[in-house]
Amino acid sequence: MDSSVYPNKDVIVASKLVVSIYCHNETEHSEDKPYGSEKWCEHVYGVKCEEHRKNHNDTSSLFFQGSIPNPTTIFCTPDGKEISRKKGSMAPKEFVDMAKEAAAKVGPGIGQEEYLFAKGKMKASDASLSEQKVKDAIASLTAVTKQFGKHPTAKKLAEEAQAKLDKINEAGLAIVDQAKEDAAAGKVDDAKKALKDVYANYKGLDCAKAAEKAMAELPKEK
Amino acid sequence: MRLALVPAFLLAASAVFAGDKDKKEKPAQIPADYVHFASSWEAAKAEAKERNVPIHVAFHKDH
Repeated sequence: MDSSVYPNKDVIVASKLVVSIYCHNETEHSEDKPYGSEKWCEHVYGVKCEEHRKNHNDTSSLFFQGSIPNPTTIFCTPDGKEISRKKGSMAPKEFVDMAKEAAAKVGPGIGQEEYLFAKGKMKASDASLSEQKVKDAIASLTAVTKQFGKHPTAKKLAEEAQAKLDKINEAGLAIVDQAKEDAAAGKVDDAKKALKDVYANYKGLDCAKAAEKAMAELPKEK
Repeated sequence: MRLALVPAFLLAASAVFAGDKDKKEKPAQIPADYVHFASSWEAAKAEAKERNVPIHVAFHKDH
């Protein structure tokens, strides 16, 4: 399986429909092998030996009583209920068919690449916010809400992104309110600067429109 | 003349080191794309639930 099935391009494509976990308790192969700056198991790229041994310990009793035929491929629901099983090795096409059948039973689901895109954008928005780059954070979060707003399964991801946008909007509205108070107190230049900042950096949110309106209402310079 | 050769030598040496670094960072055994495996059973369940997709459990050796 490691050398004939998992490297197959059709298998790689089909694997993006599911979440895979590698369970292997053999201890005789060499410890993590260097791949560039990373070290992974010599049998499977992207997995550490201590991880695949722990995975085996955590899952074997869930799917087997007694000995485990080697290899065995199982597809199960997200809560671990078995859908299908194949003892022994298999041709790539058989793996692809099993993965598609299991995905159809559980889904509709989010593909791995879409999921990683959304997760990456969410992470990027957090990084942008920590660096005070509000405009970039809004762009990242808006990408998630646009792509997943109507997705039947990714609603939670879209809602998470929208909740963050709502918080940013609230912060922007607070700046606008403060600017209005400053303007009323005669600090027109400070107010103008704050409103310009909200207008320029919070585009796409209601607070940017509020900033634009508040700027139009500022006392004109004499 | 010798002074002029120093920057040229440094450039050539840094290019050699940069080449070595690239070789180390991108060895041939790193696949361009591959089957991604979750780091743990808990991580697999959490991602599968969030994505609403099945889990593929690959068992290998039994001792």
